[in-house]
Amino acid sequence: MRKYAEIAGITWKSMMAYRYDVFAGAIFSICKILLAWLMWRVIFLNREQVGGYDFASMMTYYIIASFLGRLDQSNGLNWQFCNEIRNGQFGKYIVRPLRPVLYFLSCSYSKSVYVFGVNIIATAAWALIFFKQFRISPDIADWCLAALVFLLGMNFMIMFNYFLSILCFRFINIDGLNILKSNLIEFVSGALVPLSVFPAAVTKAFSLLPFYYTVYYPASLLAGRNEGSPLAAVAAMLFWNTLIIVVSALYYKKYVRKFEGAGI
Amino acid sequence: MNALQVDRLTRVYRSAEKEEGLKGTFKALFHKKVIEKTAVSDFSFEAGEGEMIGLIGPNGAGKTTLIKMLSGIIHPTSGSALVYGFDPSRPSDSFKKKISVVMGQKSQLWWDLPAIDSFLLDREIYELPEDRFRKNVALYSEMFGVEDLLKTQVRQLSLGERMKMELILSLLHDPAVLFLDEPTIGLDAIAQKQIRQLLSRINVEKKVTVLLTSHYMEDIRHVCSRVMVVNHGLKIFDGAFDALLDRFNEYKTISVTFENEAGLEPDFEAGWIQRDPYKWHFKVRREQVRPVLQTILNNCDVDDLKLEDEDIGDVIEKIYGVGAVS
Repeated sequence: MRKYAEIAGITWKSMMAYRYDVFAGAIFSICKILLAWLMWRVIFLNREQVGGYDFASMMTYYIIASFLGRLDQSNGLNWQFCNEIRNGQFGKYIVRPLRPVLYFLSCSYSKSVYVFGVNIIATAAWALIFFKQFRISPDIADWCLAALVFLLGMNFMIMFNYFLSILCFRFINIDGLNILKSNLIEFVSGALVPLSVFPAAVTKAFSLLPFYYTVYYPASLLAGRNEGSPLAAVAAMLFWNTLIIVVSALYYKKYVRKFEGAGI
Repeated sequence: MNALQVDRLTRVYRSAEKEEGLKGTFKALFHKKVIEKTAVSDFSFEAGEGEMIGLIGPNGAGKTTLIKMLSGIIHPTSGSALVYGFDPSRPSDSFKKKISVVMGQKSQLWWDLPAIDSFLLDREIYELPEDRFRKNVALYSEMFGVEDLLKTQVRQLSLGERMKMELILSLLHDPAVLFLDEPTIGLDAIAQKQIRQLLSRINVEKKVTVLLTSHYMEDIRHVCSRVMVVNHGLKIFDGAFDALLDRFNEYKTISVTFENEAGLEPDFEAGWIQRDPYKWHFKVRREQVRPVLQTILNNCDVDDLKLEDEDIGDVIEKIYGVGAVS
Protein backbone atom coordinates (compact mmCIF):
# COMPACT_ATOMS: atom_id res chain seq x y z
CA MET A 1 0.00 0.00 0.00
CA ARG A 2 3.03 2.29 0.23
CA LYS A 3 2.72 3.11 -3.46
CA TYR A 4 -0.76 4.53 -2.91
CA ALA A 5 0.45 6.55 0.07
CA GLU A 6 3.15 7.96 -2.23
CA ILE A 7 0.49 8.75 -4.86
CA ALA A 8 -1.46 10.63 -2.18
CA GLY A 9 1.73 12.42 -1.23
CA ILE A 10 2.62 13.46 -4.77
CA THR A 11 -0.95 14.70 -5.27
CA TRP A 12 -0.46 16.94 -2.24
CA LYS A 13 2.83 18.19 -3.64
CA SER A 14 1.13 18.91 -6.95
CA MET A 15 -1.71 20.82 -5.26
CA MET A 16 0.75 22.83 -3.23
CA ALA A 17 2.48 23.86 -6.44
CA TYR A 18 -0.62 25.92 -7.14
CA ARG A 19 -1.73 27.16 -3.72
CA TYR A 20 -3.48 30.11 -5.34
CA ASP A 21 -6.12 27.84 -6.84
CA VAL A 22 -7.02 26.32 -3.48
CA PHE A 23 -7.06 29.64 -1.64
CA ALA A 24 -9.12 31.20 -4.43
CA GLY A 25 -11.61 28.35 -3.90
CA ALA A 26 -11.74 29.09 -0.18
CA ILE A 27 -12.29 32.80 -0.81
CA PHE A 28 -14.98 31.99 -3.35
CA SER A 29 -16.72 29.82 -0.76
CA ILE A 30 -16.75 32.82 1.60
CA CYS A 31 -18.47 34.91 -1.08
CA LYS A 32 -20.93 32.07 -1.71
CA ILE A 33 -21.88 31.91 1.96
CA LEU A 34 -22.22 35.70 2.07
CA LEU A 35 -24.59 35.63 -0.90
CA ALA A 36 -26.54 32.76 0.69
CA TRP A 37 -26.80 34.80 3.90
CA LEU A 38 -28.24 37.74 1.92
CA MET A 39 -30.67 35.50 0.04
CA TRP A 40 -31.96 33.71 3.14
CA ARG A 41 -32.16 37.04 5.02
CA VAL A 42 -34.60 38.27 2.37
CA ILE A 43 -36.57 35.01 2.36
CA PHE A 44 -36.88 35.01 6.15
CA LEU A 45 -38.07 38.63 6.30
CA ASN A 46 -41.70 37.60 6.03
CA ARG A 47 -41.60 34.15 7.62
CA GLU A 48 -40.24 32.40 10.65
CA GLN A 49 -39.49 29.02 9.09
CA VAL A 50 -38.68 27.42 5.71
CA GLY A 51 -38.86 23.65 5.48
CA GLY A 52 -38.75 23.39 9.25
CA TYR A 53 -35.62 25.58 9.47
CA ASP A 54 -35.49 29.00 11.11
CA PHE A 55 -32.91 31.50 9.83
CA ALA A 56 -30.21 30.49 12.32
CA SER A 57 -30.48 26.77 11.64
CA MET A 58 -30.68 27.44 7.90
CA MET A 59 -27.37 29.36 8.01
CA THR A 60 -25.85 26.65 10.18
CA TYR A 61 -26.97 24.03 7.69
CA TYR A 62 -25.73 26.04 4.73
CA ILE A 63 -22.27 26.66 6.19
CA ILE A 64 -21.85 22.96 7.05
CA ALA A 65 -23.31 21.69 3.76
CA SER A 66 -21.18 24.08 1.77
CA PHE A 67 -18.09 22.85 3.62
CA LEU A 68 -18.91 19.16 3.21
CA GLY A 69 -19.84 19.63 -0.45
CA ARG A 70 -16.38 21.00 -1.22
CA LEU A 71 -14.50 18.11 0.36
CA ASP A 72 -15.22 15.62 -2.40
CA GLN A 73 -12.72 16.45 -5.17
CA SER A 74 -13.25 13.39 -7.31
CA ASN A 75 -15.18 15.24 -10.01
CA GLY A 76 -11.96 16.86 -11.19
CA LEU A 77 -10.27 13.48 -11.32
CA ASN A 78 -13.16 12.11 -13.32
CA TRP A 79 -12.52 14.83 -15.93
CA GLN A 80 -8.78 14.07 -15.79
CA PHE A 81 -9.28 10.33 -16.34
CA CYS A 82 -11.76 10.99 -19.17
CA ASN A 83 -9.25 13.24 -20.92
CA GLU A 84 -6.49 10.68 -20.44
CA ILE A 85 -8.66 7.92 -21.84
CA ARG A 86 -9.63 10.10 -24.80
CA ASN A 87 -6.11 11.22 -25.67
CA GLY A 88 -4.49 7.84 -25.02
CA GLN A 89 -2.50 8.84 -21.96
CA PHE A 90 -4.37 6.39 -19.75
CA GLY A 91 -1.84 3.81 -20.94
CA LYS A 92 0.55 5.05 -18.24
CA TYR A 93 -1.67 3.43 -15.61
CA ILE A 94 -1.95 0.20 -17.57
CA VAL A 95 1.78 -0.35 -18.03
CA ARG A 96 2.65 0.31 -14.38
CA PRO A 97 2.10 -2.14 -11.53
CA LEU A 98 -0.79 -0.27 -9.95
CA ARG A 99 -4.59 -0.39 -9.89
CA PRO A 100 -6.26 2.61 -11.54
CA VAL A 101 -9.13 2.48 -9.02
CA LEU A 102 -6.74 2.72 -6.07
CA TYR A 103 -4.84 5.46 -7.84
CA PHE A 104 -8.14 7.35 -8.24
CA LEU A 105 -9.05 6.82 -4.58
CA SER A 106 -5.60 7.87 -3.36
CA CYS A 107 -5.62 11.09 -5.37
CA SER A 108 -9.20 11.89 -4.34
CA TYR A 109 -8.67 11.38 -0.63
CA SER A 110 -5.41 13.28 -0.76
CA LYS A 111 -7.15 16.25 -2.36
CA SER A 112 -9.99 16.04 0.14
CA VAL A 113 -7.60 16.21 3.09
CA TYR A 114 -5.87 19.21 1.55
CA VAL A 115 -9.13 21.02 0.85
CA PHE A 116 -10.33 20.14 4.37
CA GLY A 117 -7.25 21.83 5.84
CA VAL A 118 -7.70 24.99 3.80
CA ASN A 119 -11.48 25.29 4.07
CA ILE A 120 -11.85 24.48 7.75
CA ILE A 121 -10.34 27.90 8.44
CA ALA A 122 -12.90 29.68 6.24
CA THR A 123 -15.73 27.62 7.73
CA ALA A 124 -14.56 28.29 11.29
CA ALA A 125 -14.42 32.00 10.48
CA TRP A 126 -18.02 31.93 9.31
CA ALA A 127 -19.07 29.94 12.36
CA LEU A 128 -17.56 32.68 14.51
CA ILE A 129 -19.22 35.45 12.51
CA PHE A 130 -22.57 33.71 12.89
CA PHE A 131 -21.69 32.70 16.43
CA LYS A 132 -25.04 33.72 17.84
CA GLN A 133 -26.92 32.00 15.05
CA PHE A 134 -24.64 29.01 14.60
CA ARG A 135 -26.53 26.14 16.19
CA ILE A 136 -24.38 23.08 15.85
CA SER A 137 -25.32 19.85 17.62
CA PRO A 138 -23.61 19.55 21.03
CA ASP A 139 -24.05 15.75 20.99
CA ILE A 140 -20.75 13.99 20.27
CA ALA A 141 -22.70 10.94 19.02
CA ASP A 142 -24.22 13.11 16.27
CA TRP A 143 -20.72 14.23 15.27
CA CYS A 144 -19.41 10.70 15.10
CA LEU A 145 -22.39 9.44 13.15
CA ALA A 146 -22.25 12.42 10.78
CA ALA A 147 -18.56 11.75 10.17
CA LEU A 148 -19.19 8.07 9.47
CA VAL A 149 -22.08 8.68 7.08
CA PHE A 150 -20.19 11.50 5.38
CA LEU A 151 -17.09 9.34 4.85
CA LEU A 152 -19.19 6.55 3.40
CA GLY A 153 -20.96 9.11 1.24
CA MET A 154 -17.72 10.63 0.03
CA ASN A 155 -16.31 7.20 -0.77
CA PHE A 156 -19.45 6.50 -2.77
CA MET A 157 -19.05 9.77 -4.68
CA ILE A 158 -15.39 9.01 -5.45
CA MET A 159 -16.33 5.55 -6.74
CA PHE A 160 -19.28 7.01 -8.65
CA ASN A 161 -16.99 9.50 -10.41
CA TYR A 162 -14.50 6.70 -11.10
CA PHE A 163 -17.32 4.65 -12.62
CA LEU A 164 -18.30 7.58 -14.85
CA SER A 165 -14.71 7.94 -16.05
CA ILE A 166 -14.72 4.24 -16.98
CA LEU A 167 -17.65 4.96 -19.29
CA CYS A 168 -15.22 7.01 -21.39
CA PHE A 169 -13.67 3.76 -22.61
CA ARG A 170 -17.02 3.03 -24.22
CA PHE A 171 -18.45 6.45 -25.06
CA ILE A 172 -15.18 8.41 -25.43
CA ASN A 173 -16.75 11.75 -24.56
CA ILE A 174 -19.07 12.11 -21.57
CA ASP A 175 -18.57 15.83 -20.89
CA GLY A 176 -22.30 16.53 -21.23
CA LEU A 177 -23.16 13.76 -18.79
CA ASN A 178 -20.57 15.05 -16.34
CA ILE A 179 -21.93 18.59 -16.39
CA LEU A 180 -25.50 17.34 -15.95
CA LYS A 181 -24.39 15.02 -13.13
CA SER A 182 -22.60 17.80 -11.26
CA ASN A 183 -25.62 20.10 -11.38
CA LEU A 184 -28.10 17.37 -10.46
CA ILE A 185 -26.03 16.03 -7.60
CA GLU A 186 -25.50 19.48 -6.13
CA PHE A 187 -29.30 19.73 -6.06
CA VAL A 188 -30.28 16.23 -4.86
CA SER A 189 -27.50 16.00 -2.28
CA GLY A 190 -28.80 19.06 -0.46
CA ALA A 191 -25.65 21.11 -1.08
CA LEU A 192 -27.75 24.01 -2.37
CA VAL A 193 -30.78 23.94 -0.06
CA PRO A 194 -31.92 21.51 2.64
CA LEU A 195 -33.99 18.77 1.05
CA SER A 196 -36.69 19.26 3.68
CA VAL A 197 -37.82 22.44 1.89
CA PHE A 198 -39.34 20.17 -0.77
CA PRO A 199 -42.67 18.38 -0.33
CA ALA A 200 -42.40 15.31 1.92
CA ALA A 201 -42.89 12.89 -1.00
CA VAL A 202 -40.00 14.46 -2.92
CA THR A 203 -37.72 14.34 0.13
CA LYS A 204 -38.74 10.73 0.66
CA ALA A 205 -37.87 9.94 -2.97
CA PHE A 206 -34.49 11.68 -2.60
CA SER A 207 -33.78 9.59 0.49
CA LEU A 208 -33.81 6.49 -1.73
CA LEU A 209 -30.80 7.86 -3.58
CA PRO A 210 -27.28 7.60 -2.21
CA PHE A 211 -26.68 11.34 -2.73
CA TYR A 212 -29.10 12.07 0.15
CA TYR A 213 -26.44 10.77 2.53
CA THR A 214 -23.46 12.54 0.99
CA VAL A 215 -24.28 16.05 2.24
CA TYR A 216 -27.87 16.47 3.45
CA TYR A 217 -27.95 13.74 6.07
CA PRO A 218 -24.62 14.50 7.80
CA ALA A 219 -25.13 18.29 7.54
CA SER A 220 -28.59 17.94 9.10
CA LEU A 221 -27.17 15.81 11.92
CA LEU A 222 -24.49 18.40 12.66
CA ALA A 223 -27.12 21.12 12.54
CA GLY A 224 -28.95 19.19 15.26
CA ARG A 225 -31.67 17.64 13.13
CA ASN A 226 -32.20 13.95 12.72
CA GLU A 227 -33.40 13.07 9.22
CA GLY A 228 -33.75 9.32 9.61
CA SER A 229 -32.51 6.26 11.43
CA PRO A 230 -28.69 6.32 11.80
CA LEU A 231 -28.52 2.56 11.35
CA ALA A 232 -30.55 2.78 8.13
CA ALA A 233 -28.26 5.56 6.87
CA VAL A 234 -25.11 3.52 7.48
CA ALA A 235 -26.69 0.38 6.02
CA ALA A 236 -27.85 2.30 2.94
CA MET A 237 -24.38 3.71 2.30
CA LEU A 238 -22.72 0.33 2.84
CA PHE A 239 -25.10 -1.09 0.25
CA TRP A 240 -24.46 1.72 -2.27
CA ASN A 241 -20.71 1.49 -1.75
CA THR A 242 -20.67 -2.25 -2.30
CA LEU A 243 -22.80 -1.87 -5.41
CA ILE A 244 -20.66 0.85 -6.99
CA ILE A 245 -17.42 -1.00 -6.20
CA VAL A 246 -18.69 -4.22 -7.80
CA VAL A 247 -20.20 -2.45 -10.82
CA SER A 248 -17.03 -0.37 -11.37
CA ALA A 249 -14.83 -3.46 -11.23
CA LEU A 250 -17.03 -5.33 -13.70
CA TYR A 251 -17.27 -2.44 -16.13
CA TYR A 252 -13.56 -1.66 -15.92
CA LYS A 253 -12.75 -5.23 -16.87
CA LYS A 254 -15.23 -5.10 -19.72
CA TYR A 255 -14.49 -1.63 -21.08
CA VAL A 256 -10.72 -1.41 -20.69
CA ARG A 257 -10.50 -3.79 -23.64
CA LYS A 258 -12.01 -1.05 -25.76
CA PHE A 259 -9.13 1.28 -24.98
CA GLU A 260 -7.27 2.10 -28.16
CA GLY A 261 -4.62 4.39 -26.75
CA ALA A 262 -5.44 6.86 -29.49
CA GLY A 263 -3.11 9.73 -30.07
CA ILE A 264 0.09 7.99 -29.03
CA MET B 1 13.84 -18.13 -23.61
CA ASN B 2 13.15 -15.46 -26.23
CA ALA B 3 12.62 -11.97 -24.89
CA LEU B 4 9.84 -11.42 -27.40
CA GLN B 5 7.87 -14.08 -29.21
CA VAL B 6 5.17 -12.76 -31.49
CA ASP B 7 2.94 -15.02 -33.51
CA ARG B 8 0.54 -13.72 -36.17
CA LEU B 9 -0.41 -10.70 -34.11
CA THR B 10 -3.29 -8.76 -35.64
CA ARG B 11 -5.15 -5.68 -34.52
CA VAL B 12 -8.23 -4.34 -36.23
CA TYR B 13 -9.56 -0.92 -35.20
CA ARG B 14 -13.23 -0.09 -35.57
CA SER B 15 -14.05 3.54 -36.00
CA ALA B 16 -17.00 5.66 -37.03
CA GLU B 17 -16.88 7.33 -40.41
CA LYS B 18 -18.74 10.58 -40.78
CA GLU B 19 -19.70 12.29 -44.00
CA GLU B 20 -18.43 15.80 -44.49
CA GLY B 21 -20.27 18.94 -43.42
CA LEU B 22 -23.09 19.73 -41.01
CA LYS B 23 -25.50 17.41 -42.81
CA GLY B 24 -23.07 14.55 -42.34
CA THR B 25 -22.77 15.39 -38.64
CA PHE B 26 -26.56 15.22 -38.14
CA LYS B 27 -26.77 12.04 -40.16
CA ALA B 28 -24.08 10.46 -38.03
CA LEU B 29 -26.14 11.17 -34.91
CA PHE B 30 -28.73 8.64 -36.07
CA HIS B 31 -26.80 6.36 -38.35
CA LYS B 32 -23.19 5.61 -37.56
CA LYS B 33 -21.16 4.02 -40.30
CA VAL B 34 -18.51 1.83 -38.72
CA ILE B 35 -15.40 1.03 -40.69
CA GLU B 36 -12.66 -1.43 -39.84
CA LYS B 37 -8.99 -0.81 -40.35
CA THR B 38 -6.32 -3.42 -39.91
CA ALA B 39 -3.45 -1.65 -38.19
CA VAL B 40 -1.26 -4.72 -37.72
CA SER B 41 -1.71 -7.88 -39.73
CA ASP B 42 -0.31 -11.36 -39.04
CA PHE B 43 2.85 -9.93 -37.54
CA SER B 44 5.33 -12.54 -36.33
CA PHE B 45 8.88 -12.29 -35.05
CA GLU B 46 11.17 -13.42 -32.28
CA ALA B 47 13.75 -11.41 -30.41
CA GLY B 48 16.52 -12.67 -28.18
CA GLU B 49 17.54 -11.21 -24.88
CA GLY B 50 19.44 -7.97 -25.31
CA GLU B 51 18.56 -7.52 -28.97
CA MET B 52 17.99 -3.98 -30.20
CA ILE B 53 15.38 -3.87 -32.91
CA GLY B 54 14.41 -0.84 -34.91
CA LEU B 55 10.88 -0.61 -36.19
CA ILE B 56 10.51 1.69 -39.14
CA GLY B 57 7.66 2.55 -41.41
CA PRO B 58 5.62 5.52 -42.58
CA ASN B 59 3.03 7.18 -40.36
CA GLY B 60 0.07 4.88 -39.75
CA ALA B 61 2.07 1.78 -40.69
CA GLY B 62 1.24 0.04 -37.39
CA LYS B 63 4.47 0.53 -35.43
CA THR B 64 2.88 2.17 -32.39
CA THR B 65 -0.01 -0.30 -32.41
CA LEU B 66 2.50 -3.14 -32.25
CA ILE B 67 4.24 -1.54 -29.27
CA LYS B 68 0.88 -0.93 -27.57
CA MET B 69 -0.04 -4.59 -27.96
CA LEU B 70 3.31 -5.85 -26.70
CA SER B 71 3.15 -3.58 -23.65
CA GLY B 72 -0.43 -4.59 -22.79
CA ILE B 73 -1.95 -1.14 -23.43
CA ILE B 74 -4.30 -2.58 -26.04
CA HIS B 75 -5.45 -6.08 -26.80
CA PRO B 76 -4.80 -7.88 -30.09
CA THR B 77 -7.74 -8.89 -32.26
CA SER B 78 -6.02 -12.20 -32.92
CA GLY B 79 -2.64 -13.85 -32.62
CA SER B 80 -0.46 -14.10 -29.57
CA ALA B 81 2.59 -12.56 -27.99
CA LEU B 82 4.88 -13.47 -25.15
CA VAL B 83 7.20 -11.00 -23.47
CA TYR B 84 9.69 -12.91 -21.33
CA GLY B 85 7.06 -15.63 -21.10
CA PHE B 86 4.28 -13.22 -20.04
CA ASP B 87 1.14 -12.67 -22.06
CA PRO B 88 0.78 -8.86 -22.38
CA SER B 89 -2.99 -9.11 -22.83
CA ARG B 90 -3.19 -10.49 -19.28
CA PRO B 91 -0.81 -8.06 -17.66
CA SER B 92 0.32 -9.04 -14.18
CA ASP B 93 2.45 -6.89 -11.90
CA SER B 94 5.40 -9.22 -12.58
CA PHE B 95 5.04 -8.52 -16.30
CA LYS B 96 4.74 -4.78 -15.74
CA LYS B 97 7.95 -4.79 -13.71
CA LYS B 98 9.74 -6.43 -16.65
CA ILE B 99 8.84 -3.77 -19.17
CA SER B 100 8.98 -0.05 -19.68
CA VAL B 101 7.29 2.10 -22.28
CA VAL B 102 8.28 5.55 -23.45
CA MET B 103 6.02 7.35 -25.86
CA GLY B 104 7.88 10.34 -27.25
CA GLN B 105 4.81 12.51 -27.42
CA LYS B 106 3.25 11.57 -24.07
CA SER B 107 4.79 12.44 -20.78
CA GLN B 108 4.64 10.20 -17.74
CA LEU B 109 6.23 12.81 -15.50
CA TRP B 110 4.24 15.03 -13.15
CA TRP B 111 4.19 18.28 -15.04
CA ASP B 112 4.07 20.66 -12.09
CA LEU B 113 6.69 18.93 -9.97
CA PRO B 114 10.43 18.33 -10.25
CA ALA B 115 11.37 15.09 -12.04
CA ILE B 116 12.82 13.67 -8.82
CA ASP B 117 9.27 13.55 -7.37
CA SER B 118 8.12 11.37 -10.27
CA PHE B 119 11.19 9.18 -9.70
CA LEU B 120 10.31 8.83 -6.00
CA LEU B 121 6.78 7.83 -6.94
CA ASP B 122 8.07 5.12 -9.26
CA ARG B 123 10.39 3.92 -6.50
CA GLU B 124 7.27 3.02 -4.53
CA ILE B 125 5.22 1.81 -7.50
CA TYR B 126 7.97 -0.60 -8.52
CA GLU B 127 8.95 -1.35 -4.91
CA LEU B 128 12.60 -0.53 -5.53
CA PRO B 129 15.09 -0.88 -2.68
CA GLU B 130 16.43 2.52 -1.66
CA ASP B 131 20.07 1.80 -2.58
CA ARG B 132 19.17 0.50 -6.04
CA PHE B 133 16.95 3.52 -6.64
CA ARG B 134 19.64 6.02 -5.56
CA LYS B 135 22.27 4.18 -7.61
CA ASN B 136 20.13 4.25 -10.77
CA VAL B 137 19.15 7.90 -10.36
CA ALA B 138 22.81 8.83 -9.94
CA LEU B 139 23.91 6.59 -12.85
CA TYR B 140 21.38 7.78 -15.43
CA SER B 141 21.35 11.45 -14.45
CA GLU B 142 25.15 11.45 -14.76
CA MET B 143 24.97 9.65 -18.13
CA PHE B 144 22.61 12.33 -19.45
CA GLY B 145 24.24 15.22 -17.65
CA VAL B 146 21.02 16.26 -15.93
CA GLU B 147 22.11 15.99 -12.27
CA ASP B 148 21.49 19.71 -11.78
CA LEU B 149 17.99 19.55 -13.22
CA LEU B 150 16.45 16.87 -11.01
CA LYS B 151 14.88 19.47 -8.73
CA THR B 152 13.59 21.72 -11.53
CA GLN B 153 9.85 21.69 -12.31
CA VAL B 154 9.25 19.47 -15.34
CA ARG B 155 7.28 22.17 -17.15
CA GLN B 156 10.36 24.41 -16.99
CA LEU B 157 12.61 21.87 -18.72
CA SER B 158 13.37 21.97 -22.43
CA LEU B 159 11.97 19.23 -24.65
CA GLY B 160 15.32 17.44 -24.76
CA GLU B 161 15.78 17.63 -20.99
CA ARG B 162 12.25 16.36 -20.46
CA MET B 163 12.81 13.40 -22.74
CA LYS B 164 15.99 12.52 -20.86
CA MET B 165 13.98 12.57 -17.63
CA GLU B 166 11.33 10.36 -19.26
CA LEU B 167 14.02 7.87 -20.21
CA ILE B 168 15.55 7.93 -16.73
CA LEU B 169 12.07 7.31 -15.26
CA SER B 170 11.58 4.37 -17.59
CA LEU B 171 14.93 2.82 -16.64
CA LEU B 172 14.84 3.20 -12.85
CA HIS B 173 13.31 -0.22 -12.24
CA ASP B 174 15.82 -1.99 -14.52
CA PRO B 175 13.32 -3.25 -17.10
CA ALA B 176 14.26 -6.26 -19.19
CA VAL B 177 12.42 -4.87 -22.22
CA LEU B 178 12.21 -1.26 -23.26
CA PHE B 179 9.57 -0.14 -25.75
CA LEU B 180 10.45 3.23 -27.23
CA ASP B 181 8.11 5.04 -29.55
CA GLU B 182 9.76 8.02 -31.19
CA PRO B 183 11.96 8.91 -28.20
CA THR B 184 13.98 11.47 -30.15
CA ILE B 185 11.10 13.27 -31.83
CA GLY B 186 11.64 17.00 -31.95
CA LEU B 187 15.04 16.86 -30.24
CA ASP B 188 18.15 18.65 -31.43
CA ALA B 189 21.09 16.69 -32.86
CA ILE B 190 23.07 16.72 -29.61
CA ALA B 191 20.18 15.42 -27.50
CA GLN B 192 19.43 12.75 -30.14
CA LYS B 193 23.04 11.63 -30.04
CA GLN B 194 23.06 11.48 -26.22
CA ILE B 195 19.93 9.35 -26.22
CA ARG B 196 21.39 7.01 -28.83
CA GLN B 197 24.56 6.67 -26.78
CA LEU B 198 22.61 5.96 -23.62
CA LEU B 199 20.52 3.30 -25.32
CA SER B 200 23.61 1.57 -26.69
CA ARG B 201 25.26 1.73 -23.27
CA ILE B 202 22.33 0.27 -21.32
CA ASN B 203 22.06 -2.43 -23.92
CA VAL B 204 25.69 -3.40 -23.41
CA GLU B 205 25.78 -2.96 -19.63
CA LYS B 206 22.33 -4.22 -18.66
CA LYS B 207 21.35 -6.45 -21.57
CA VAL B 208 18.08 -4.61 -22.01
CA THR B 209 16.05 -5.72 -25.02
CA VAL B 210 14.94 -2.65 -26.97
CA LEU B 211 12.18 -2.23 -29.52
CA LEU B 212 12.53 1.23 -30.97
CA THR B 213 10.45 3.14 -33.47
CA SER B 214 11.85 6.28 -34.99
CA HIS B 215 11.55 8.35 -38.11
CA TYR B 216 15.19 9.33 -37.72
CA MET B 217 17.21 6.75 -39.59
CA GLU B 218 20.31 7.78 -37.66
CA ASP B 219 18.63 6.44 -34.50
CA ILE B 220 18.08 3.08 -36.11
CA ARG B 221 21.45 2.94 -37.83
CA HIS B 222 23.42 3.70 -34.65
CA VAL B 223 21.36 1.84 -32.09
CA CYS B 224 19.82 -1.20 -33.71
CA SER B 225 21.53 -4.27 -35.03
CA ARG B 226 18.31 -5.44 -36.57
CA VAL B 227 15.55 -3.58 -38.33
CA MET B 228 11.96 -4.44 -39.20
CA VAL B 229 10.17 -2.43 -41.84
CA VAL B 230 6.40 -2.16 -41.47
CA ASN B 231 3.95 -0.85 -43.98
CA HIS B 232 0.15 -1.13 -43.98
CA GLY B 233 0.44 -3.33 -40.89
CA LEU B 234 2.62 -5.89 -42.65
CA LYS B 235 6.23 -6.73 -41.99
CA ILE B 236 8.03 -6.15 -45.26
CA PHE B 237 11.61 -6.56 -44.12
CA ASP B 238 13.36 -8.13 -41.14
CA GLY B 239 17.13 -8.20 -41.02
CA ALA B 240 20.31 -6.21 -40.50
CA PHE B 241 20.17 -2.50 -41.27
CA ASP B 242 23.14 -2.74 -43.63
CA ALA B 243 21.45 -5.59 -45.50
CA LEU B 244 18.40 -3.38 -45.92
CA LEU B 245 20.49 -0.56 -47.33
CA ASP B 246 22.44 -2.94 -49.56
CA ARG B 247 19.27 -4.25 -51.04
CA PHE B 248 17.70 -0.89 -51.74
CA ASN B 249 20.67 1.40 -52.07
CA GLU B 250 20.76 1.23 -55.86
CA TYR B 251 22.55 4.50 -56.49
CA LYS B 252 25.65 6.33 -55.37
CA THR B 253 26.14 10.04 -55.51
CA ILE B 254 29.35 11.34 -57.07
CA SER B 255 30.57 14.87 -56.62
CA VAL B 256 33.62 15.99 -58.66
CA THR B 257 35.31 19.37 -58.92
CA PHE B 258 37.79 20.02 -61.75
CA GLU B 259 41.04 21.97 -61.97
CA ASN B 260 40.15 23.06 -65.51
CA GLU B 261 36.90 22.96 -67.44
CA ALA B 262 35.72 19.39 -67.90
CA GLY B 263 36.14 18.80 -71.57
CA LEU B 264 34.46 15.45 -71.43
CA GLU B 265 30.97 14.84 -72.76
CA PRO B 266 29.59 12.19 -70.40
CA ASP B 267 28.42 9.07 -72.20
CA PHE B 268 26.96 7.37 -69.13
CA GLU B 269 23.46 7.46 -67.70
CA ALA B 270 23.31 9.83 -64.76
CA GLY B 271 20.79 11.65 -62.63
CA TRP B 272 22.17 15.15 -62.64
CA ILE B 273 21.96 17.27 -59.54
CA GLN B 274 24.46 19.92 -60.67
CA ARG B 275 26.42 20.18 -63.90
CA ASP B 276 28.83 23.11 -64.30
CA PRO B 277 32.08 23.30 -66.26
CA TYR B 278 34.01 23.03 -62.96
CA LYS B 279 31.70 20.84 -60.91
CA TRP B 280 29.62 17.73 -61.51
CA HIS B 281 27.21 16.31 -58.96
CA PHE B 282 25.18 13.29 -60.08
CA LYS B 283 23.71 9.93 -59.19
CA VAL B 284 24.66 6.71 -60.97
CA ARG B 285 23.68 3.10 -60.50
CA ARG B 286 26.04 1.25 -58.15
CA GLU B 287 27.37 -1.07 -60.86
CA GLN B 288 28.28 1.94 -62.99
CA VAL B 289 30.40 3.63 -60.35
CA ARG B 290 33.72 2.01 -61.27
CA PRO B 291 33.60 2.64 -65.10
CA VAL B 292 32.27 6.18 -64.58
CA LEU B 293 35.06 7.07 -62.16
CA GLN B 294 37.66 5.56 -64.48
CA THR B 295 36.34 7.64 -67.39
CA ILE B 296 36.43 10.82 -65.37
CA LEU B 297 39.88 10.23 -63.88
CA ASN B 298 41.34 9.30 -67.28
CA ASN B 299 39.93 12.28 -69.14
CA CYS B 300 39.67 15.19 -66.69
CA ASP B 301 41.86 17.19 -64.27
CA VAL B 302 40.17 16.21 -61.06
CA ASP B 303 40.64 18.55 -58.10
CA ASP B 304 38.42 16.75 -55.59
CA LEU B 305 36.10 13.78 -55.63
CA LYS B 306 33.42 12.58 -53.24
CA LEU B 307 31.48 9.34 -53.36
CA GLU B 308 28.41 8.98 -51.15
CA ASP B 309 25.64 6.50 -50.50
CA GLU B 310 22.17 7.46 -51.55
CA ASP B 311 20.25 9.53 -49.03
CA ILE B 312 18.72 7.15 -46.47
CA GLY B 313 15.39 8.92 -46.70
CA ASP B 314 15.22 8.18 -50.44
CA VAL B 315 16.08 4.55 -49.78
CA ILE B 316 13.38 4.19 -47.15
CA GLU B 317 10.86 5.85 -49.46
CA LYS B 318 11.70 3.18 -52.00
CA ILE B 319 11.31 0.41 -49.42
CA TYR B 320 7.88 1.65 -48.32
CA GLY B 321 6.78 1.62 -51.91
CA VAL B 322 7.63 -2.06 -52.28
CA GLY B 323 5.67 -5.08 -51.11
CA ALA B 324 6.98 -7.85 -48.91
CA VAL B 325 10.69 -8.30 -49.52
CA SER B 326 11.77 -10.61 -46.75
